[in-house]
Amino acid sequence: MKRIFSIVLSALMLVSAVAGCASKPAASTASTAVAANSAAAGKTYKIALVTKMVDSTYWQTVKKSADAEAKKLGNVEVTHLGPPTEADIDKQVQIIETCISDKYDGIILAACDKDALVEPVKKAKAAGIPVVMIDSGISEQVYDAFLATNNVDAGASCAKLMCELIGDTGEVAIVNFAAGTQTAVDREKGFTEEIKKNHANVKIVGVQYCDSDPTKAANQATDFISANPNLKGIWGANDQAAVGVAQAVTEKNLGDKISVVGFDNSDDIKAGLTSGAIKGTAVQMPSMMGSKGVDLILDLIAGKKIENKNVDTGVTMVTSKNFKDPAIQAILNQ
Amino acid sequence: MAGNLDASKAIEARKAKQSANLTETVQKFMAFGVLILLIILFGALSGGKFIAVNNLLTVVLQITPYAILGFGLTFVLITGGTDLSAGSVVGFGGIICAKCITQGYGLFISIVVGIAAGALTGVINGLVITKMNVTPFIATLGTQFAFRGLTQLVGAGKPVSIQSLENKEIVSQFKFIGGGTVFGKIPFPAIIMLVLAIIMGIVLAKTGFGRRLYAVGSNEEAARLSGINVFKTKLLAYVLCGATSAMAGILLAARLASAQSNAGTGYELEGIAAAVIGGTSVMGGEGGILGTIIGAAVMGVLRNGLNLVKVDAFVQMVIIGAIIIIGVWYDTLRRKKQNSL
Repeated sequence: MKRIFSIVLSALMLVSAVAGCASKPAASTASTAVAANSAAAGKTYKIALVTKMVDSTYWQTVKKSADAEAKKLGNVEVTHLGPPTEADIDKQVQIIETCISDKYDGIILAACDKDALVEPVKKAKAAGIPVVMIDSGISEQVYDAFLATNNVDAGASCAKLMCELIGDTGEVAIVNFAAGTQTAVDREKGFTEEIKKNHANVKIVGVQYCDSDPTKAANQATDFISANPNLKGIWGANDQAAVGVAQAVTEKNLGDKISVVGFDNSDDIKAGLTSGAIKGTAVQMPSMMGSKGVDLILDLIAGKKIENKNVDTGVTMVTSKNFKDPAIQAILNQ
Repeated sequence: MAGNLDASKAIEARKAKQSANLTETVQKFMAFGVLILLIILFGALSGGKFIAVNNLLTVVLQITPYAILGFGLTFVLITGGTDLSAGSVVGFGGIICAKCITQGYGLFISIVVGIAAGALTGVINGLVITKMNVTPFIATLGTQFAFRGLTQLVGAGKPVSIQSLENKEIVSQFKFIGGGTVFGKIPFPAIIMLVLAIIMGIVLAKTGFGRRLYAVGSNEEAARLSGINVFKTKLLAYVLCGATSAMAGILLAARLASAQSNAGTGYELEGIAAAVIGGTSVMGGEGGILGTIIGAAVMGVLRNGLNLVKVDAFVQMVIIGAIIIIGVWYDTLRRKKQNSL
């Protein structure tokens, strides 16, 4: 019986380890400027936008921006395809194979699985079809480009906003959302390097990891406040971390003294921005993935070389001051 | 130990009985001693920051959910069972309650529904364990996944935000339950924890149901033969554990005015650790509510104190892990001694 337990347990650990590794790889270098360019006149290019599923607001946002870009260019037609759920990996593989036999001119793909989609992408490339990955990549760099948020740069943007809020001097603390997850590691690296390099009077007093649990984040933030009476800012490196940190600062009535900067966007974050408990947050840009994806495919068809395969879609810093602007509202509700 | 004379055997047996009665008290005393030691240690190391009244009240607020969850787990552990699904039920109870609030039901009804949902998960656990004869470890490992899945389904994978509701009155009322203060600076959840501790402590120590829990945990067969309804006793223990888990979840959701679909992940282990450090045996038959509060306090003081003296986050995990192992190791040693006597 004990042996069965240990087998079950180790199987579970294996599964969770694999799941942990499957989180998105982040773009690691700076973006290249890509000029939108309409290719040779006369022909209409067929581009397949293949996402992990079709009917979610996130992917609909990507689709809308791809459609808008296609309309702007005039000679592009985007077809949105995808399996019923993210778990239907086989169906996504089939969709790519159909795209190849239907002779699409380009494929924009968010992979359901980083390993299973390697072969189909290879096949498409062999058939001369350019492939641009968005959001979730694959384990081999057989694609032409990968559009995602550069989390190092995004972390640095958060650091810049934080320093601006605290007058470029004083103590700040970090509540990161996980230890050892690539996205989290990159964000923290960007934040700390920016402060070390460009803000000599700002000191990071500590880093805690809240496992995306806002209650843990609140407890850790409270302890940071107790341990560092001169603390001027706390950065929560994702949605849950930011919400917890904001809660701790509000509970202690220190909203005027301690600035909270967050990451990502949710109903709770929006409520925090409205009340001022959160001073600013970095919002990722799924809409960029659609429009830039279409641009890149056309560049590739025109024979342009893409120097850097990792393209940053960037973040928008939304603050409690600018978040009422219609343009920012559009980003928050994208 | 192998005495030749009957007389010496009788003396040994009497000693064993006495020491069994004493051990729980001793361990509670030990854990309490460790707690006092930690408080003095951190008070000195943090330059007084740790023993500031504000900080100690913060610690109380921080341990509340773990302690409340630990109460229910103590009941289950005493029967010789375990509940690995408790953390998932924290999420489930919280999100059901929050969902009810967003649907426009009043605060009171929403909280009752949330706790009832937790109790219902306890019924499922209890039935799987008693009627289907699946060992508690595996049964609740399965329901841990299932209840987390249900939580994610209810929340559609996202947090259910109370914070962003139009009705600001209900937002502030809900937040008060999770983080408000009474009599000056005492966190309201701490009052709930205290009341719950007293009620559950009395149930455990003074009622027939409490005695039956210990009997089932010490020797299930003997309990059955002596006419105890083992099924009912165990089922009720799991129902109570589900209900307290949901209460912990509602408090978490209330503090943030937002129910996270991943809330409570891993909390069952915090609760079990608190109970074990406080002298509840993972083998069943022993334990108590006071011990669990002390155990939760040891964990909370450790975490807060290490933060205040600025110990690296990763080093902290190693230290807390070591403390849990020492707690269980001590428990095993004690049992071995008892059995060999």
